[in-house]
Amino acid sequence: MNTIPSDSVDIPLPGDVTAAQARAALSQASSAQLVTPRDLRLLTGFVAGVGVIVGAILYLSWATLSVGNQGGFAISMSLYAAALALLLVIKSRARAIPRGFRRTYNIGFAVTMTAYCTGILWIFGHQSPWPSASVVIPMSIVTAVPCLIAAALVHRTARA
Amino acid sequence: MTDQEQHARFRLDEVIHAPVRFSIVAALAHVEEADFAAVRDAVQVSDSVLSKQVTLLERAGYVEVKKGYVGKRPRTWLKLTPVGEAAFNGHLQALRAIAGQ
Repeated sequence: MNTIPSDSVDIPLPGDVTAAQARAALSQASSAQLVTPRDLRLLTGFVAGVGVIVGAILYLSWATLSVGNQGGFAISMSLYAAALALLLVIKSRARAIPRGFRRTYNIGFAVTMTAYCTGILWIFGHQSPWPSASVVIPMSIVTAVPCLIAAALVHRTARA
Repeated sequence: MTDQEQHARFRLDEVIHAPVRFSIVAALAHVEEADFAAVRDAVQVSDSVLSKQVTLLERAGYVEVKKGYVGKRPRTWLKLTPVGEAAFNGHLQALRAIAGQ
């Protein structure tokens, strides 16, 4: 037998709400939570992952092209595209998006991409000689950091 | 009965006031959007009951329904509209006024 409750009986008219009923409704409203820990893991993983792969592709672009390895560069870009596709699949499995996620992610992603573009332009504008790993690795890390911070903010804000 | 009490009752939103719809709107108020199944599980109603209540909320302009696909799997996403958010906040304020009496 289907015992799912319906919405059609014993509904007090708005004018009949008592103070106790109002307090109960307010308590329910404040405790309503759709975003699960799983959703949070998926979304923070997505945001952090985007930062990591953009930072990684900055490094791999330098690592391959600075030694003339065009094939390696093509493989790197393919891996980047595959990793991005995987991250989008991960994100799509989240069943609820917490408030503020899109704004936080967009800001983190924009800053990461700005750092990436700046890094790429600088690296490829300094090819004689190419910058060393001691310069490119920190640049790659700096590129990833905005998205990592955004991921941390998403996690903290949603749990608050 | 004071004038203040009367005013608070008049501010309760009749669309949101029904228990299931109130639960739906309260849940959506905390998210940017949510999957239909997630809302169903959180509110603990059947697909048909949720669909019926969401339709009422959509007609009132409080909820936006977005249908799409993830791969080949259809997905339905629910989102509170700015009008719905304002109506819910107004309803909460009326409840707080009643609760505080």
